[in-house]
Amino acid sequence: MALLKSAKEHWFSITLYALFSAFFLVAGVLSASTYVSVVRTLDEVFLENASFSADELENGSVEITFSIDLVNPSRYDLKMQSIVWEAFVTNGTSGTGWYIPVGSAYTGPTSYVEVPSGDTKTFSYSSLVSDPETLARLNGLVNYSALEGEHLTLETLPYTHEFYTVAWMGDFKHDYLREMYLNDIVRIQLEYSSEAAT
Amino acid sequence: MRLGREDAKKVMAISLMSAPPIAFMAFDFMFPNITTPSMNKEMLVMLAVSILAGIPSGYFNSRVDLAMLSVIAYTAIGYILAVVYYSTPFTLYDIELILPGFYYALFFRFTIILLFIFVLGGFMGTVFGQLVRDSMKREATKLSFPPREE
Repeated sequence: MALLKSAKEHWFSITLYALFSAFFLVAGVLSASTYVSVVRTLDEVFLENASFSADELENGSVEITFSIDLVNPSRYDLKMQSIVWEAFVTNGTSGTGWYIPVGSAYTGPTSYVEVPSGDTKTFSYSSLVSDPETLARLNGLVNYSALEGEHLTLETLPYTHEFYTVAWMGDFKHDYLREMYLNDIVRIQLEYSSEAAT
Repeated sequence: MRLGREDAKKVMAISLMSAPPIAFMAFDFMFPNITTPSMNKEMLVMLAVSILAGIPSGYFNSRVDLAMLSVIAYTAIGYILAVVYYSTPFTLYDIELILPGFYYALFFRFTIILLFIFVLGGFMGTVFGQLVRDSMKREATKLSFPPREE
């Protein structure tokens, strides 16, 4: 009772005090809610529907294609920092030159690619392998497979597709050099490998 | 130190009212990039808010021991509330998202510095609050008993 009486007596100071306290309470709850959304986004964003193919053209070249969807159901837009696609074949029979690259692409932050909140973006790539040297190496692999009884073609060679992307959530600050954990909180890293998928 | 029922109620009320700023500052210190509004780890701003948070414990408590007890109580409650804020996503979602040792590394690592600022600022605020209270009382007394004109 004495407390209530005292509160009535100091109503102006109490009101200021309550406003001060409420401001920080609301700020705290809002920030915790943002934190929940950020952590949820780390878990929600994913890659799906990866598809790839290799088509042999009439002139002997090979067209390699790859596409993948990035699904962003979160409440934040994703600002893509880097998007990397790489396609290659590995030839395990020879010591040197075991790695035969057949396609690659890189998109950096200056391209300002965004995946809006609640949206899905498809990343599609294609590469035409017409370089005689690379084609010779691919054909060598085809011929070797025939000797082994596998009878692969330029279209059915085991091409590996790797896709790797880094994105930032919304407009949160993310250029901390010393406190990297602050960057980690708002950074999304996704990767896909056709080798791991099969 | 004797603590009556009314005193305990007052200390508790002050502790609950002053805890949110402490909780927010502790949380903001860990995640300045996602909090709104952020103090960006500015120690002086945090000290200033700590002083503000400490003023009521001096203003509403005439006893110095109770005022100091209030400061310690609201700092403790505020810090616990900050840990609750920090734990929210991991209680709602996947607990495995938390990195091993994350709690220790990020939250409890800076405890000493933060608590020092909160308590020091709180005591400074308490002194200021008591000064304001005494000054207002003196003024009120002066107005109630104006000097007699000869």
